[in-house]
Amino acid sequence: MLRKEVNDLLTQTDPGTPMGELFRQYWIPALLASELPEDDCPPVRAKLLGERLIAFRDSEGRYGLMDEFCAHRGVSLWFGRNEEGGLRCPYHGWKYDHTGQCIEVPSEPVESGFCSKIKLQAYPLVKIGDVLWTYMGAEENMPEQPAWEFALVPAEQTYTSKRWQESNWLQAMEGGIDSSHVSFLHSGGLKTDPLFRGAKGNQYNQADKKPVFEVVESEGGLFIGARRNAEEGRFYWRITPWVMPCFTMIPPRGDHPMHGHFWIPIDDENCWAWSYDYHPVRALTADERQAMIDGHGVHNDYVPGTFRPAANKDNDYLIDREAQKRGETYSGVKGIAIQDSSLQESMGPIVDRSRENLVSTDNGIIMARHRLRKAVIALRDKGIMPPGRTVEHQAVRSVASVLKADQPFVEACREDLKVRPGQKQTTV
Amino acid sequence: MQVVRLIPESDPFSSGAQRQPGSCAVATTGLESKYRVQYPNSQPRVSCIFTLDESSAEQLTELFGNQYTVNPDAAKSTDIPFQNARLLKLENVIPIDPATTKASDLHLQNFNGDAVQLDVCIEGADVCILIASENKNMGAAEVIAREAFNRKIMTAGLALGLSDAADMSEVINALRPFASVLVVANGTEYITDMLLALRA
Repeated sequence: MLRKEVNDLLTQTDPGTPMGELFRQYWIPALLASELPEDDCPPVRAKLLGERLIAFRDSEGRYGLMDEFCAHRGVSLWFGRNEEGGLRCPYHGWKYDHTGQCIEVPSEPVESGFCSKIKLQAYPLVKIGDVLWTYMGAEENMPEQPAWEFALVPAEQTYTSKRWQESNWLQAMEGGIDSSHVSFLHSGGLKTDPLFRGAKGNQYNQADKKPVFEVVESEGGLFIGARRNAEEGRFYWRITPWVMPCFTMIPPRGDHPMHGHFWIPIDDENCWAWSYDYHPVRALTADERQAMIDGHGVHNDYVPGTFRPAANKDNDYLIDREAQKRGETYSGVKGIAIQDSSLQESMGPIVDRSRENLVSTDNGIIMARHRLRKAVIALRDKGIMPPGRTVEHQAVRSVASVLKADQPFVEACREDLKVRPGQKQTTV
Repeated sequence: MQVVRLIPESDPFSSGAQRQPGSCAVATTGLESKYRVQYPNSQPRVSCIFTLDESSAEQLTELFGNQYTVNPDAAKSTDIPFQNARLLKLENVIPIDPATTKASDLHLQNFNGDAVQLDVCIEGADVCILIASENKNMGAAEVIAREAFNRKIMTAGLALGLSDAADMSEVINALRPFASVLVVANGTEYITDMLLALRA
């Protein structure tokens, strides 16, 4: 359980809230680069951390992310004309550059310099990998640009998607470090999903349904190890890194691409579930990429023209009770992503954690909340920057490995848990 | 005779096959959250917390004072609503041989300094938590964990505040055979968060 005041502290991310301030100390995914595919393309609305923003790519390829509304009369710049180095409000022609600076007010004499007095709140927007990243905090605290391996490998080795999840970010993120639900909710996927099936590690998963968990604090967050019995008294370990505040990476299966998530608050009742897949040393095959596009693995398919999953709360997630009876799915809902989102959204927009009954196997979640609360308070009260901002903290990999019984996974896999450019992931 | 439908077909909460698509959309709104039934959905549980070395015992004393059963009034540095957490420490730190030590032979104390028998204090427990800051008394840990196992009581291990990797490895290895869940935490403040979260 979590007291209401702590729940509020961790779930509220609008401007001025302590958790909102914490999120504003990080580079976070804002848009897929494909949403702004070319210079002078249509602008895109992007609500993040409770702020209504507009993103655009100007005539010179510069990305801008700024207040959605024109400073003149409050018109949405989604209607703006993206032309000649800026975004122009169609109402009276006020024009803004990629930094939010107003560069034209047609009704005023140019010589008056009036436009120089108008500036929209704007944030940097940079393309790294398939993602446009933003930093919404104070300029003097801006960390190094994001260095997650999935975003740094060559384009042919990586694929990223995002989906709108209609719940608070924290209950979504907690699903990513809750290893014990996999044996139930996602049990069907190991056998059938083209991005999971066939790995030797799956046999250990299926043979030992009662994993034992070890949770170890790391500098950037946590390592959560799930241990299952393997041959000759050895253990099969699946190790999930969590890097503050909301990055997780699922342990690999065989030579399948590695994958994981970010959960980014849109507002307190909605978040973006970002899902990435990449292989550290080889290009994704055409079949793998197509499977991701088709919504397999951690991805999903969509209501056309949106980032809303095709299976969503309005259609009861297309639940199929017959498929459930046949054993094809555990919950009746198809696909890893929607199996998660259906249950996490069912908790309500912001789950009331004061009514929970956590058990010992929930220690990964308990520890993550503990780390977040400590970091939020340290930032709020003492201005201490939170973990997870540095390149070193971001240079992590998940691991699947068979170890001797007396080997602590953090020690045995110390190098495997780090990014090793050009070297394959440690997997079973 | 006319049948009066008490639940219209369009009602999103009507049962089974009559349910219309999209009931989740209605059921998951913030407005609907206020209709969740409010009642105590769990019984108070009993947690036995064993410190396995002097350092761990000192850390718990720092947090909770010299109490046996932690309750809101007893907790010194927290307002956490503990229910029935039993704090226990080893009477002495002499290594014991688990193979020859029965549960009734293990000398424990509560934090008042009163002698307590393992088989008495563990009676009715829902979870046993073993806390270690040093690689000591793992024989005692085995006796406790064995008794918990025999009684089908969940056992969790907490390795606390170990900055030295070698020490950490030793403690983890020592606790691993006995704990269904093992946590390695940097600071003592995790204890209170964990006990609160578990409704200890």
